[in-house]
Amino acid sequence: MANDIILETESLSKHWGGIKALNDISLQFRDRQLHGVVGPNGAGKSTLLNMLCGTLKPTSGCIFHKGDQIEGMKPWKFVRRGIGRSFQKTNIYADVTCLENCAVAAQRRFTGSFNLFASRHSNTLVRDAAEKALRQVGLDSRINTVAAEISYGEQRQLELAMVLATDPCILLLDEPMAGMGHEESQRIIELLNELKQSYSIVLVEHDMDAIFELSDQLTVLDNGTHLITGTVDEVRNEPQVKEAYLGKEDEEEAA
Amino acid sequence: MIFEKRTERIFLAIFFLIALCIPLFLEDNSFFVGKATTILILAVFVMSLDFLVGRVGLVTLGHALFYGLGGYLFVILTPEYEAVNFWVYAVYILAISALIALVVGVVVLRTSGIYFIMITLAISQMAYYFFFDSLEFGGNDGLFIFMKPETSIFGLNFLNLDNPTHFYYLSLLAVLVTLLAIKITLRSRFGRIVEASRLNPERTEALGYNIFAFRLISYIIGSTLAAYAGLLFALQYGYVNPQFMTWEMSGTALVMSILGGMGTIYGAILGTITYEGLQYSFEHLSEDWMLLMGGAIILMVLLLRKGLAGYLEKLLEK
Ligand SMILES: Nc1ncnc2c1ncn2[C@@H]1O[C@H](COP(=O)(O)OP(=O)(O)O)[C@@H](O)[C@H]1O
Ligand SMILES: [Mg+2]
Repeated sequence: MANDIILETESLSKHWGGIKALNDISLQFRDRQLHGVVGPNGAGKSTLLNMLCGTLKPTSGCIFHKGDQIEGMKPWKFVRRGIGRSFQKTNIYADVTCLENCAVAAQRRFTGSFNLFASRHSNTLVRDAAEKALRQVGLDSRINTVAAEISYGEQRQLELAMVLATDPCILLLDEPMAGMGHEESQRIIELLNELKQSYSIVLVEHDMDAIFELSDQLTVLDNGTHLITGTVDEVRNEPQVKEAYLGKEDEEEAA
Repeated sequence: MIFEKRTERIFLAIFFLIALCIPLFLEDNSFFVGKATTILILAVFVMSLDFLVGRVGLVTLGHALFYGLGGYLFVILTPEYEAVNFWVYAVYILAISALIALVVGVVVLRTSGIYFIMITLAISQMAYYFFFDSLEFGGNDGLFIFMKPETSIFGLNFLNLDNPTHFYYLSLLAVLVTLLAIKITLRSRFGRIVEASRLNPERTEALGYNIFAFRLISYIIGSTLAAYAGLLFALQYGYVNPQFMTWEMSGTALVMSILGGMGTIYGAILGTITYEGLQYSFEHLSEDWMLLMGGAIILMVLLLRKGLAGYLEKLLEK
Protein backbone atom coordinates (compact mmCIF):
# COMPACT_ATOMS: atom_id res chain seq x y z
CA MET A 1 0.00 0.00 0.00
CA ALA A 2 1.32 3.41 -0.89
CA ASN A 3 1.90 5.42 2.22
CA ASP A 4 3.34 8.68 0.91
CA ILE A 5 1.85 11.88 2.19
CA ILE A 6 0.42 13.78 -0.77
CA LEU A 7 -1.37 16.60 1.03
CA GLU A 8 -0.70 17.94 4.49
CA THR A 9 -1.99 20.72 6.74
CA GLU A 10 0.00 22.25 9.55
CA SER A 11 -1.80 24.12 12.34
CA LEU A 12 -4.43 25.25 9.88
CA SER A 13 -6.94 27.77 11.26
CA LYS A 14 -9.79 29.83 9.90
CA HIS A 15 -11.46 32.51 11.96
CA TRP A 16 -14.32 34.78 11.01
CA GLY A 17 -14.31 37.58 13.50
CA GLY A 18 -14.92 35.75 16.75
CA ILE A 19 -16.03 32.49 15.13
CA LYS A 20 -13.29 29.89 15.11
CA ALA A 21 -14.53 27.77 12.22
CA LEU A 22 -11.33 25.72 12.34
CA ASN A 23 -8.62 25.77 14.92
CA ASP A 24 -5.11 24.38 14.68
CA ILE A 25 -5.76 21.45 12.36
CA SER A 26 -2.80 19.26 11.39
CA LEU A 27 -3.70 16.42 9.07
CA GLN A 28 -1.92 14.17 6.63
CA PHE A 29 -3.61 12.80 3.54
CA ARG A 30 -1.97 9.80 1.93
CA ASP A 31 -1.63 8.80 -1.66
CA ARG A 32 -4.42 6.58 -2.96
CA GLN A 33 -6.35 6.47 0.24
CA LEU A 34 -9.84 7.57 0.99
CA HIS A 35 -9.76 9.91 3.93
CA GLY A 36 -13.17 10.45 5.49
CA VAL A 37 -14.03 13.60 7.42
CA VAL A 38 -17.05 13.62 9.69
CA GLY A 39 -18.47 15.91 12.33
CA PRO A 40 -21.74 17.61 13.23
CA ASN A 41 -23.09 20.56 11.27
CA GLY A 42 -20.87 23.58 11.66
CA ALA A 43 -17.86 21.46 12.64
CA GLY A 44 -15.77 23.10 9.93
CA LYS A 45 -15.69 20.33 7.32
CA SER A 46 -16.57 22.54 4.37
CA THR A 47 -14.21 25.20 5.64
CA LEU A 48 -11.41 22.63 5.63
CA LEU A 49 -12.16 21.56 2.06
CA ASN A 50 -12.44 25.16 0.92
CA MET A 51 -8.94 25.80 2.19
CA LEU A 52 -7.55 22.58 0.74
CA CYS A 53 -8.72 23.62 -2.71
CA GLY A 54 -7.60 27.23 -2.43
CA THR A 55 -10.96 29.04 -2.49
CA LEU A 56 -10.49 30.14 1.14
CA LYS A 57 -7.31 31.64 2.51
CA PRO A 58 -6.42 30.28 5.95
CA THR A 59 -6.17 32.75 8.83
CA SER A 60 -2.99 30.95 9.83
CA GLY A 61 -1.19 27.70 9.20
CA CYS A 62 0.16 25.99 6.11
CA ILE A 63 -0.87 23.55 3.40
CA PHE A 64 1.69 21.38 1.65
CA HIS A 65 1.17 19.53 -1.60
CA LYS A 66 3.94 17.05 -2.37
CA GLY A 67 6.19 19.12 -0.15
CA ASP A 68 5.37 22.53 -1.73
CA GLN A 69 3.74 25.19 0.37
CA ILE A 70 0.59 26.18 -1.52
CA GLU A 71 -1.86 27.93 0.79
CA GLY A 72 -1.46 31.42 -0.71
CA MET A 73 -2.01 30.36 -4.32
CA LYS A 74 -5.04 31.09 -6.49
CA PRO A 75 -7.69 28.37 -6.73
CA TRP A 76 -6.98 27.68 -10.39
CA LYS A 77 -3.37 26.89 -9.53
CA PHE A 78 -4.57 24.24 -7.10
CA VAL A 79 -6.47 22.59 -9.94
CA ARG A 80 -3.36 22.60 -12.10
CA ARG A 81 -1.61 20.70 -9.35
CA GLY A 82 -4.28 18.05 -9.63
CA ILE A 83 -6.45 19.07 -6.70
CA GLY A 84 -10.10 18.98 -7.73
CA ARG A 85 -13.14 19.62 -5.59
CA SER A 86 -16.89 19.25 -5.64
CA PHE A 87 -19.19 21.62 -3.82
CA GLN A 88 -21.64 20.88 -1.03
CA LYS A 89 -24.08 23.32 -2.53
CA THR A 90 -24.54 22.28 -6.14
CA ASN A 91 -22.42 24.57 -8.25
CA ILE A 92 -22.92 23.86 -11.93
CA TYR A 93 -23.63 25.76 -15.16
CA ALA A 94 -27.40 25.52 -15.03
CA ASP A 95 -28.07 27.04 -18.46
CA VAL A 96 -26.06 24.63 -20.59
CA THR A 97 -26.16 20.89 -21.24
CA CYS A 98 -24.62 18.30 -18.94
CA LEU A 99 -22.11 17.54 -21.66
CA GLU A 100 -21.07 21.19 -21.90
CA ASN A 101 -20.72 21.36 -18.10
CA CYS A 102 -18.20 18.54 -18.22
CA ALA A 103 -16.58 19.81 -21.40
CA VAL A 104 -15.63 23.04 -19.60
CA ALA A 105 -14.07 20.87 -16.92
CA ALA A 106 -12.23 18.65 -19.38
CA GLN A 107 -11.07 21.18 -21.96
CA ARG A 108 -8.00 22.34 -20.05
CA ARG A 109 -6.50 18.86 -20.14
CA PHE A 110 -6.42 18.49 -23.89
CA THR A 111 -6.15 21.81 -25.61
CA GLY A 112 -5.26 25.45 -25.19
CA SER A 113 -8.17 27.48 -23.94
CA PHE A 114 -6.80 30.69 -25.43
CA ASN A 115 -7.58 29.53 -28.94
CA LEU A 116 -10.00 32.13 -30.29
CA PHE A 117 -10.61 30.46 -33.63
CA ALA A 118 -11.03 26.70 -33.28
CA SER A 119 -14.58 25.68 -32.53
CA ARG A 120 -15.21 24.45 -29.02
CA HIS A 121 -16.87 21.39 -30.54
CA SER A 122 -13.94 20.38 -32.72
CA ASN A 123 -11.85 18.57 -30.13
CA THR A 124 -13.09 14.98 -29.81
CA LEU A 125 -10.83 14.24 -26.84
CA VAL A 126 -12.67 16.86 -24.79
CA ARG A 127 -16.00 15.41 -25.78
CA ASP A 128 -14.94 11.85 -25.04
CA ALA A 129 -13.61 12.78 -21.61
CA ALA A 130 -16.78 14.69 -20.80
CA GLU A 131 -18.96 11.76 -21.86
CA LYS A 132 -16.81 9.34 -19.91
CA ALA A 133 -17.23 11.38 -16.72
CA LEU A 134 -21.00 11.49 -17.22
CA ARG A 135 -21.08 7.73 -17.73
CA GLN A 136 -19.00 7.16 -14.61
CA VAL A 137 -21.60 8.85 -12.42
CA GLY A 138 -24.50 7.29 -14.28
CA LEU A 139 -25.76 10.23 -16.29
CA ASP A 140 -25.50 8.55 -19.71
CA SER A 141 -29.07 9.35 -20.57
CA ARG A 142 -28.73 13.04 -19.68
CA ILE A 143 -25.79 13.99 -21.87
CA ASN A 144 -27.69 16.51 -23.97
CA THR A 145 -30.13 17.71 -21.32
CA VAL A 146 -29.80 21.22 -19.96
CA ALA A 147 -28.47 21.00 -16.41
CA ALA A 148 -31.30 23.08 -14.93
CA GLU A 149 -33.80 20.50 -16.15
CA ILE A 150 -32.41 17.41 -14.43
CA SER A 151 -33.46 16.38 -10.91
CA TYR A 152 -31.65 17.54 -7.80
CA GLY A 153 -30.08 14.15 -7.28
CA GLU A 154 -28.87 14.13 -10.86
CA GLN A 155 -27.37 17.57 -10.40
CA ARG A 156 -25.40 16.13 -7.50
CA GLN A 157 -24.14 13.43 -9.87
CA LEU A 158 -23.22 16.08 -12.42
CA GLU A 159 -21.39 18.00 -9.72
CA LEU A 160 -19.21 14.93 -9.20
CA ALA A 161 -18.82 14.26 -12.91
CA MET A 162 -17.38 17.74 -13.39
CA VAL A 163 -14.59 17.10 -10.90
CA LEU A 164 -13.85 13.75 -12.47
CA ALA A 165 -13.64 15.39 -15.88
CA THR A 166 -10.75 17.55 -14.68
CA ASP A 167 -8.91 14.27 -14.01
CA PRO A 168 -7.41 15.30 -10.67
CA CYS A 169 -5.00 13.26 -8.52
CA ILE A 170 -6.70 14.41 -5.35
CA LEU A 171 -10.47 14.56 -5.08
CA LEU A 172 -12.01 16.76 -2.42
CA LEU A 173 -15.67 15.81 -2.15
CA ASP A 174 -18.09 17.77 0.00
CA GLU A 175 -21.10 15.60 0.77
CA PRO A 176 -21.39 14.22 -2.75
CA MET A 177 -24.27 11.91 -1.85
CA ALA A 178 -26.43 14.44 0.00
CA GLY A 179 -29.76 14.70 -1.80
CA MET A 180 -29.31 11.58 -3.90
CA GLY A 181 -31.74 8.69 -3.86
CA HIS A 182 -30.70 5.32 -2.43
CA GLU A 183 -29.91 3.79 -5.81
CA GLU A 184 -27.86 6.77 -6.92
CA SER A 185 -25.94 6.77 -3.64
CA GLN A 186 -25.14 3.09 -4.04
CA ARG A 187 -23.80 3.78 -7.45
CA ILE A 188 -21.59 6.59 -6.18
CA ILE A 189 -20.32 4.42 -3.28
CA GLU A 190 -19.38 1.78 -5.82
CA LEU A 191 -17.70 4.40 -7.95
CA LEU A 192 -15.72 5.81 -5.02
CA ASN A 193 -14.60 2.30 -4.08
CA GLU A 194 -13.27 1.96 -7.58
CA LEU A 195 -11.74 5.45 -7.73
CA LYS A 196 -9.78 5.10 -4.54
CA GLN A 197 -7.53 2.56 -6.24
CA SER A 198 -6.11 5.34 -8.37
CA TYR A 199 -7.01 8.66 -6.67
CA SER A 200 -6.49 10.18 -3.26
CA ILE A 201 -9.88 11.19 -1.95
CA VAL A 202 -10.95 13.42 0.90
CA LEU A 203 -14.61 12.69 1.54
CA VAL A 204 -16.94 14.69 3.72
CA GLU A 205 -20.17 12.79 4.13
CA HIS A 206 -23.12 12.54 6.50
CA ASP A 207 -24.02 8.99 5.53
CA MET A 208 -22.16 7.10 8.27
CA ASP A 209 -22.60 3.68 6.70
CA ALA A 210 -21.00 4.94 3.52
CA ILE A 211 -18.15 6.64 5.34
CA PHE A 212 -17.40 3.55 7.47
CA GLU A 213 -17.46 1.36 4.41
CA LEU A 214 -15.22 3.57 2.29
CA SER A 215 -12.68 5.22 4.59
CA ASP A 216 -9.10 4.07 4.98
CA GLN A 217 -8.54 6.91 7.42
CA LEU A 218 -11.20 8.82 9.27
CA THR A 219 -11.01 12.24 10.90
CA VAL A 220 -13.58 13.56 13.33
CA LEU A 221 -14.00 17.31 13.68
CA ASP A 222 -16.14 18.98 16.28
CA ASN A 223 -16.75 22.68 16.63
CA GLY A 224 -13.61 23.55 14.71
CA THR A 225 -11.30 21.25 16.60
CA HIS A 226 -9.68 18.00 15.59
CA LEU A 227 -10.92 15.17 17.82
CA ILE A 228 -9.21 12.14 16.34
CA THR A 229 -7.84 10.60 13.19
CA GLY A 230 -7.44 6.85 12.73
CA THR A 231 -8.83 3.79 11.02
CA VAL A 232 -12.55 3.30 11.09
CA ASP A 233 -12.29 0.81 13.95
CA GLU A 234 -10.04 3.04 16.01
CA VAL A 235 -12.43 5.94 15.63
CA ARG A 236 -15.56 3.91 16.35
CA ASN A 237 -14.13 2.62 19.57
CA GLU A 238 -13.01 5.96 20.87
CA PRO A 239 -15.35 6.87 23.76
CA GLN A 240 -14.80 10.61 23.35
CA VAL A 241 -16.06 10.39 19.77
CA LYS A 242 -19.10 8.35 20.64
CA GLU A 243 -20.05 10.98 23.13
CA ALA A 244 -19.24 14.07 21.08
CA TYR A 245 -20.57 13.07 17.73
CA LEU A 246 -21.73 9.58 17.01
CA GLY A 247 -23.94 9.61 20.06
CA LYS A 248 -25.60 12.84 19.06
CA GLU A 249 -26.16 11.55 15.56
CA ASP A 250 -27.91 8.47 16.92
CA GLU A 251 -30.18 10.64 19.00
CA GLU A 252 -30.96 12.80 16.00
CA GLU A 253 -31.82 9.77 13.95
CA ALA A 254 -33.96 8.37 16.71
CA ALA A 255 -35.81 11.65 17.07
CA MET B 1 -22.46 26.94 -38.14
CA ILE B 2 -21.58 29.94 -36.02
CA PHE B 3 -25.12 31.31 -36.27
CA GLU B 4 -26.92 28.78 -34.15
CA LYS B 5 -30.42 30.17 -34.09
CA ARG B 6 -32.84 30.16 -36.96
CA THR B 7 -34.03 33.65 -36.07
CA GLU B 8 -30.49 34.89 -36.19
CA ARG B 9 -29.90 33.46 -39.64
CA ILE B 10 -33.16 34.82 -41.00
CA PHE B 11 -32.62 38.27 -39.55
CA LEU B 12 -29.04 38.53 -40.78
CA ALA B 13 -29.93 37.29 -44.25
CA ILE B 14 -32.67 39.92 -44.56
CA PHE B 15 -30.52 42.61 -42.99
CA PHE B 16 -27.55 42.12 -45.29
CA LEU B 17 -29.78 41.79 -48.34
CA ILE B 18 -31.51 45.09 -47.64
CA ALA B 19 -28.31 46.77 -46.49
CA LEU B 20 -26.53 45.79 -49.70
CA CYS B 21 -29.32 47.29 -51.79
CA ILE B 22 -29.95 50.52 -49.89
CA PRO B 23 -27.47 52.68 -51.82
CA LEU B 24 -28.99 51.46 -55.09
CA PHE B 25 -32.30 53.06 -54.14
CA LEU B 26 -30.86 56.11 -52.45
CA GLU B 27 -28.05 56.79 -54.91
CA ASP B 28 -29.11 60.40 -55.38
CA ASN B 29 -29.80 61.02 -51.73
CA SER B 30 -26.45 61.30 -50.02
CA PHE B 31 -28.07 62.51 -46.79
CA PHE B 32 -29.84 59.19 -46.27
CA VAL B 33 -26.83 57.15 -47.33
CA GLY B 34 -24.81 59.12 -44.78
CA LYS B 35 -27.45 58.52 -42.10
CA ALA B 36 -27.49 54.79 -42.89
CA THR B 37 -23.68 54.75 -42.70
CA THR B 38 -23.78 56.30 -39.24
CA ILE B 39 -26.24 53.65 -38.11
CA LEU B 40 -23.92 50.90 -39.35
CA ILE B 41 -20.97 52.41 -37.51
CA LEU B 42 -23.04 52.69 -34.34
CA ALA B 43 -24.08 49.06 -34.78
CA VAL B 44 -20.41 48.06 -34.68
CA PHE B 45 -20.04 49.99 -31.43
CA VAL B 46 -23.19 48.52 -29.90
CA MET B 47 -22.24 44.96 -30.91
CA SER B 48 -18.87 45.35 -29.21
CA LEU B 49 -20.67 46.52 -26.06
CA ASP B 50 -23.24 43.74 -26.28
CA PHE B 51 -20.37 41.24 -26.44
CA LEU B 52 -18.81 42.62 -23.26
CA VAL B 53 -21.98 43.18 -21.25
CA GLY B 54 -24.16 40.35 -22.48
CA ARG B 55 -21.67 37.61 -23.19
CA VAL B 56 -18.56 38.24 -21.12
CA GLY B 57 -20.54 39.63 -18.21
CA LEU B 58 -18.62 42.89 -17.91
CA VAL B 59 -21.16 45.65 -17.36
CA THR B 60 -19.18 48.67 -18.47
CA LEU B 61 -20.48 52.22 -18.44
CA GLY B 62 -17.32 53.59 -19.98
CA HIS B 63 -17.29 51.90 -23.35
CA ALA B 64 -17.37 55.23 -25.20
CA LEU B 65 -13.84 55.77 -23.94
CA PHE B 66 -12.60 53.49 -26.70
CA TYR B 67 -14.99 54.88 -29.28
CA GLY B 68 -13.48 58.30 -28.60
CA LEU B 69 -9.93 56.98 -28.46
CA GLY B 70 -10.31 55.39 -31.89
CA GLY B 71 -11.40 58.75 -33.25
CA TYR B 72 -8.78 60.84 -31.47
CA LEU B 73 -5.89 58.49 -32.21
CA PHE B 74 -6.80 58.49 -35.86
CA VAL B 75 -7.02 62.26 -36.17
CA ILE B 76 -3.96 62.92 -34.03
CA LEU B 77 -1.73 60.37 -35.70
CA THR B 78 -2.50 61.12 -39.34
CA PRO B 79 -0.16 63.79 -40.72
CA GLU B 80 -1.82 67.02 -41.84
CA TYR B 81 -0.40 67.34 -45.35
CA GLU B 82 -0.07 63.80 -46.53
CA ALA B 83 -2.69 61.19 -47.33
CA VAL B 84 -1.83 58.05 -45.42
CA ASN B 85 -2.99 54.57 -46.29
CA PHE B 86 -6.28 53.83 -44.53
CA TRP B 87 -5.72 50.10 -43.98
CA VAL B 88 -2.21 50.51 -42.60
CA TYR B 89 -3.34 53.26 -40.27
CA ALA B 90 -6.42 51.36 -39.15
CA VAL B 91 -4.25 48.43 -38.07
CA TYR B 92 -1.77 50.80 -36.43
CA ILE B 93 -4.47 52.63 -34.47
CA LEU B 94 -6.28 49.47 -33.45
CA ALA B 95 -2.99 48.07 -32.15
CA ILE B 96 -2.50 51.15 -29.97
CA SER B 97 -6.12 50.97 -28.81
CA ALA B 98 -5.64 47.31 -27.88
CA LEU B 99 -2.58 48.26 -25.86
CA ILE B 100 -4.51 50.98 -24.02
CA ALA B 101 -7.35 48.49 -23.42
CA LEU B 102 -4.81 46.12 -21.92
CA VAL B 103 -3.63 48.75 -19.43
CA VAL B 104 -7.13 49.99 -18.59
CA GLY B 105 -8.36 46.39 -18.38
CA VAL B 106 -5.69 45.39 -15.88
CA VAL B 107 -6.91 48.22 -13.64
CA VAL B 108 -10.69 47.93 -14.00
CA LEU B 109 -10.86 44.12 -13.96
CA ARG B 110 -9.54 44.08 -10.42
CA THR B 111 -13.04 45.10 -9.44
CA SER B 112 -16.40 43.51 -10.14
CA GLY B 113 -20.09 44.23 -9.90
CA ILE B 114 -21.08 47.78 -9.03
CA TYR B 115 -17.43 48.80 -8.55
CA PHE B 116 -16.65 47.74 -12.09
CA ILE B 117 -19.50 49.92 -13.37
CA MET B 118 -18.24 52.87 -11.34
CA ILE B 119 -14.59 52.57 -12.27
CA THR B 120 -15.22 52.17 -16.00
CA LEU B 121 -17.46 55.24 -15.85
CA ALA B 122 -14.85 57.19 -13.88
CA ILE B 123 -12.00 56.40 -16.25
CA SER B 124 -13.98 57.34 -19.32
CA GLN B 125 -15.08 60.61 -17.66
CA MET B 126 -11.44 61.36 -16.86
CA ALA B 127 -10.55 60.90 -20.51
CA TYR B 128 -13.51 63.08 -21.50
CA TYR B 129 -12.35 65.97 -19.32
CA PHE B 130 -8.78 65.49 -20.41
CA PHE B 131 -9.73 66.09 -24.04
CA PHE B 132 -12.28 68.73 -23.10
CA ASP B 133 -9.63 70.79 -21.30
CA SER B 134 -6.70 70.16 -23.61
CA LEU B 135 -5.63 73.03 -25.86
CA GLU B 136 -3.49 71.00 -28.20
CA PHE B 137 -6.33 68.54 -28.90
CA GLY B 138 -8.81 71.29 -29.60
CA GLY B 139 -10.74 71.27 -26.32
CA ASN B 140 -14.49 71.17 -26.74
CA ASP B 141 -14.26 71.79 -30.50
CA GLY B 142 -12.07 68.78 -31.06
CA LEU B 143 -9.87 68.21 -34.07
CA PHE B 144 -10.42 68.12 -37.81
CA ILE B 145 -9.01 65.80 -40.40
CA PHE B 146 -7.11 67.74 -43.06
CA MET B 147 -6.30 64.99 -45.48
CA LYS B 148 -8.55 61.99 -45.89
CA PRO B 149 -6.51 58.81 -46.22
CA GLU B 150 -6.25 56.86 -49.45
CA THR B 151 -7.41 53.28 -49.52
CA SER B 152 -5.37 51.38 -52.07
CA ILE B 153 -4.46 47.76 -51.45
CA PHE B 154 -1.37 46.58 -53.37
CA GLY B 155 -1.75 49.53 -55.70
CA LEU B 156 -5.38 48.76 -56.47
CA ASN B 157 -7.76 51.53 -55.57
CA PHE B 158 -11.42 50.72 -55.77
CA LEU B 159 -12.61 52.74 -52.79
CA ASN B 160 -13.08 56.49 -52.58
CA LEU B 161 -13.75 57.67 -49.04
CA ASP B 162 -15.27 60.94 -50.28
CA ASN B 163 -17.95 58.97 -52.04
CA PRO B 164 -20.81 58.37 -49.54
CA THR B 165 -21.78 55.10 -51.18
CA HIS B 166 -18.24 53.77 -50.97
CA PHE B 167 -18.01 54.80 -47.34
CA TYR B 168 -21.34 53.11 -46.72
CA TYR B 169 -20.04 49.80 -48.01
CA LEU B 170 -16.87 50.17 -45.99
CA SER B 171 -19.06 50.49 -42.88
CA LEU B 172 -21.22 47.55 -43.89
CA LEU B 173 -18.03 45.52 -44.18
CA ALA B 174 -17.12 46.62 -40.66
CA VAL B 175 -20.48 45.32 -39.41
CA LEU B 176 -19.85 41.96 -41.07
CA VAL B 177 -16.28 41.67 -39.78
CA THR B 178 -17.32 42.63 -36.25
CA LEU B 179 -20.20 40.19 -36.27
CA LEU B 180 -17.99 37.35 -37.49
CA ALA B 181 -15.16 38.21 -35.09
CA ILE B 182 -17.51 38.14 -32.10
CA LYS B 183 -19.37 35.02 -33.17
CA ILE B 184 -16.20 33.06 -33.94
CA THR B 185 -14.71 34.11 -30.62
CA LEU B 186 -17.84 33.04 -28.75
CA ARG B 187 -17.95 29.63 -30.40
CA SER B 188 -14.25 28.99 -29.82
CA ARG B 189 -12.55 27.08 -27.01
CA PHE B 190 -11.73 30.47 -25.57
CA GLY B 191 -15.40 31.44 -25.84
CA ARG B 192 -16.42 28.32 -23.92
CA ILE B 193 -14.43 29.46 -20.89
CA VAL B 194 -15.61 33.06 -21.28
CA GLU B 195 -19.19 31.83 -21.23
CA ALA B 196 -18.46 29.61 -18.23
CA SER B 197 -16.90 32.55 -16.39
CA ARG B 198 -20.04 34.59 -16.90
CA LEU B 199 -22.42 31.81 -15.89
CA ASN B 200 -20.46 30.76 -12.80
CA PRO B 201 -17.10 32.40 -12.09
CA GLU B 202 -16.52 30.50 -8.85
CA ARG B 203 -16.93 27.13 -10.50
CA THR B 204 -14.83 28.12 -13.48
CA GLU B 205 -11.96 29.06 -11.23
CA ALA B 206 -12.41 25.79 -9.32
CA LEU B 207 -12.04 23.98 -12.64
CA GLY B 208 -8.58 25.46 -13.16
CA TYR B 209 -9.12 28.58 -15.26
CA ASN B 210 -7.64 31.96 -14.54
CA ILE B 211 -10.76 33.93 -15.30
CA PHE B 212 -8.94 37.26 -15.04
CA ALA B 213 -6.96 36.39 -18.16
CA PHE B 214 -10.08 35.40 -20.09
CA ARG B 215 -11.86 38.60 -19.11
CA LEU B 216 -8.86 40.73 -19.96
CA ILE B 217 -8.52 39.31 -23.45
CA SER B 218 -12.27 39.71 -24.00
CA TYR B 219 -12.08 43.30 -22.77
CA ILE B 220 -9.30 44.02 -25.26
CA ILE B 221 -11.33 42.51 -28.11
CA GLY B 222 -14.48 44.48 -27.25
CA SER B 223 -12.59 47.73 -26.73
CA THR B 224 -10.64 47.42 -29.96
CA LEU B 225 -13.82 46.87 -31.94
CA ALA B 226 -15.28 49.99 -30.29
CA ALA B 227 -12.17 51.93 -31.31
CA TYR B 228 -12.69 50.81 -34.88
CA ALA B 229 -16.23 52.19 -34.81
CA GLY B 230 -14.93 55.50 -33.43
CA LEU B 231 -12.29 55.67 -36.10
CA LEU B 232 -14.87 55.18 -38.85
CA PHE B 233 -17.18 57.77 -37.32
CA ALA B 234 -14.39 60.35 -37.17
CA LEU B 235 -13.52 59.58 -40.75
CA GLN B 236 -17.11 59.89 -41.92
CA TYR B 237 -17.61 63.34 -40.45
CA GLY B 238 -14.02 64.49 -40.71
CA TYR B 239 -13.61 65.44 -37.06
CA VAL B 240 -13.46 64.15 -33.53
CA ASN B 241 -14.48 65.89 -30.30
CA PRO B 242 -15.06 65.04 -26.64
CA GLN B 243 -18.72 64.24 -27.38
CA PHE B 244 -17.45 60.90 -28.70
CA MET B 245 -16.67 59.76 -25.19
CA THR B 246 -19.48 61.11 -23.04
CA TRP B 247 -21.24 58.80 -20.64
CA GLU B 248 -24.41 59.49 -22.64
CA MET B 249 -22.71 57.78 -25.55
CA SER B 250 -22.01 54.69 -23.42
CA GLY B 251 -25.50 54.81 -21.95
CA THR B 252 -27.27 55.14 -25.28
CA ALA B 253 -25.35 52.16 -26.64
CA LEU B 254 -26.39 50.18 -23.59
CA VAL B 255 -30.03 51.08 -24.20
CA MET B 256 -29.70 50.03 -27.85
CA SER B 257 -28.26 46.69 -26.83
CA ILE B 258 -30.96 46.06 -24.22
CA LEU B 259 -33.65 47.10 -26.70
CA GLY B 260 -32.24 44.70 -29.28
CA GLY B 261 -31.86 41.81 -26.84
CA MET B 262 -28.87 41.74 -24.55
CA GLY B 263 -26.20 39.22 -25.43
CA THR B 264 -27.66 38.17 -28.76
CA ILE B 265 -25.13 40.20 -30.82
CA TYR B 266 -27.38 40.33 -33.89
CA GLY B 267 -29.91 42.02 -31.62
CA ALA B 268 -27.45 44.89 -31.26
CA ILE B 269 -27.88 45.63 -34.97
CA LEU B 270 -31.64 45.44 -34.58
CA GLY B 271 -31.57 47.65 -31.48
CA THR B 272 -29.40 50.29 -33.12
CA ILE B 273 -31.61 50.51 -36.20
CA THR B 274 -34.79 50.64 -34.11
CA TYR B 275 -33.44 53.28 -31.73
CA GLU B 276 -32.19 55.49 -34.53
CA GLY B 277 -35.40 54.95 -36.46
CA LEU B 278 -37.48 55.93 -33.45
CA GLN B 279 -35.35 58.98 -32.81
CA TYR B 280 -35.67 60.10 -36.43
CA SER B 281 -39.45 59.68 -36.34
CA PHE B 282 -39.94 61.37 -32.99
CA GLU B 283 -37.69 64.30 -33.85
CA HIS B 284 -40.11 65.27 -36.59
CA LEU B 285 -43.18 64.59 -34.52
CA SER B 286 -43.02 67.04 -31.68
CA GLU B 287 -40.92 69.44 -29.67
CA ASP B 288 -40.95 67.13 -26.68
CA TRP B 289 -39.64 64.23 -28.68
CA MET B 290 -37.07 63.20 -26.09
CA LEU B 291 -39.76 62.61 -23.50
CA LEU B 292 -41.94 60.66 -25.94
CA MET B 293 -39.03 58.63 -27.15
CA GLY B 294 -37.91 57.82 -23.60
CA GLY B 295 -41.43 56.63 -22.85
CA ALA B 296 -41.56 54.50 -25.98
CA ILE B 297 -38.21 52.86 -25.18
CA ILE B 298 -39.16 52.14 -21.58
CA LEU B 299 -42.43 50.62 -22.75
CA MET B 300 -40.71 48.42 -25.32
CA VAL B 301 -38.07 47.22 -22.89
CA LEU B 302 -40.73 46.40 -20.31
CA LEU B 303 -43.01 44.61 -22.74
CA LEU B 304 -40.27 42.70 -24.54
CA ARG B 305 -38.42 41.16 -21.67
CA LYS B 306 -35.63 39.83 -23.85
CA GLY B 307 -35.61 42.67 -26.30
CA LEU B 308 -36.59 42.66 -29.96
CA ALA B 309 -34.43 39.62 -30.70
CA GLY B 310 -36.11 37.73 -27.86
CA TYR B 311 -39.50 38.60 -29.32
CA LEU B 312 -38.49 37.44 -32.80
CA GLU B 313 -37.14 34.22 -31.35
CA LYS B 314 -40.43 33.58 -29.60
CA LEU B 315 -42.14 33.89 -32.97
CA LEU B 316 -39.65 31.96 -35.07
CA GLU B 317 -38.06 29.26 -32.91
CA LYS B 318 -40.11 26.15 -32.54
N1 LIG C 1 -18.43 32.81 5.11
C1 LIG C 1 -18.57 32.61 6.44
N2 LIG C 1 -18.64 33.67 7.27
C2 LIG C 1 -18.77 33.48 8.60
N3 LIG C 1 -18.85 32.29 9.19
C3 LIG C 1 -18.81 31.19 8.43
C4 LIG C 1 -18.67 31.30 7.00
N4 LIG C 1 -18.65 30.04 6.49
C5 LIG C 1 -18.78 29.20 7.53
N5 LIG C 1 -18.86 29.88 8.68
C6 LIG C 1 -18.97 29.28 10.03
O1 LIG C 1 -17.91 28.40 10.21
C7 LIG C 1 -18.35 27.26 10.91
C8 LIG C 1 -18.01 26.01 10.13
O2 LIG C 1 -18.81 25.94 8.97
P1 LIG C 1 -18.69 24.79 7.87
O3 LIG C 1 -17.27 24.59 7.53
O4 LIG C 1 -19.62 25.10 6.76
O5 LIG C 1 -19.24 23.52 8.68
P2 LIG C 1 -19.65 22.08 8.15
O6 LIG C 1 -19.34 21.99 6.70
O7 LIG C 1 -18.85 21.15 8.98
O8 LIG C 1 -21.10 21.92 8.43
C9 LIG C 1 -19.82 27.43 11.15
O9 LIG C 1 -20.00 27.89 12.48
C10 LIG C 1 -20.25 28.47 10.17
O10 LIG C 1 -21.30 29.23 10.66
MG1 LIG D 1 -20.48 21.64 5.06
